[in-house]
Amino acid sequence: MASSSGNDDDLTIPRAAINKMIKETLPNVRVANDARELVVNCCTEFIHLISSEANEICNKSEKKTISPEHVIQALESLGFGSYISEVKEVLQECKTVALKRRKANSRLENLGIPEEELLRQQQELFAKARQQQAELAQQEWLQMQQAAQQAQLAAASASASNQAGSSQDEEDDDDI
Amino acid sequence: MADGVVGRDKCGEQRLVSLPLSRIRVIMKSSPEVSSINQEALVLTAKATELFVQYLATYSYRHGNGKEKKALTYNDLSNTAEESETFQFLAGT
Repeated sequence: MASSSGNDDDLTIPRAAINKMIKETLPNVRVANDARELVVNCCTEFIHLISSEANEICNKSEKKTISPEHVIQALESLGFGSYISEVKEVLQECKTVALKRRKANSRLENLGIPEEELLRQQQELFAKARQQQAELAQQEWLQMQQAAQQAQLAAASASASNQAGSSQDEEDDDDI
Repeated sequence: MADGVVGRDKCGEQRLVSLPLSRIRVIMKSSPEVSSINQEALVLTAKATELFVQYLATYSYRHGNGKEKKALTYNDLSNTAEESETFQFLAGT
């Protein structure tokens, strides 16, 4: 088979994606490298085929943008009608997701707060929370330090009074 | 533009197709006569291409000589291109 020439035809689907698809379709089958390469190139050919046909259909419909309907018609006329039901399922999922997103966005818009602003507010809240936590942690640490110091002092004066027994009386006077 | 696999907010296609949409768009537009492509149409083309690969591989394997050895060869594929009407457009590849 002749190889395609020209820079545009060097553009292909990434080999890894093709390998993955082949592996999923034909698990446990050895596929030669030149066969894989051929599949990659066939993909490109297929895309050209579909887009040319869809483009023609688009032109005839006097629309400027190739639409999903054009692609579906192209599949039909090129003999890939068996793909259509699955392809239509994907289209349906697409529309459902898009619809959900539009609804979500309009709900947000109804709050009067655009998404970026909400994000900013969220970041602010996080920063504040972090700061509060940091302050709390510092306080705790200071308290621990103080407690430790007091403990040290207490221990020190206890041992001091043990050692200096003669000054005990004076200290007793100070005690209330 | 991110690949289809990690696609973001366009039709949620990261679930739908595993081929990179940006690459497919570039391939389509490399034909000068091709006008602009609607995003959903792009997703459909990607899906059709996936089905095509699956079909090509499966068909070639089933009709090919490598079935006993559990192998798919170049020849299996090229035979498919020549013999199957649907795949005849591949004959020059």
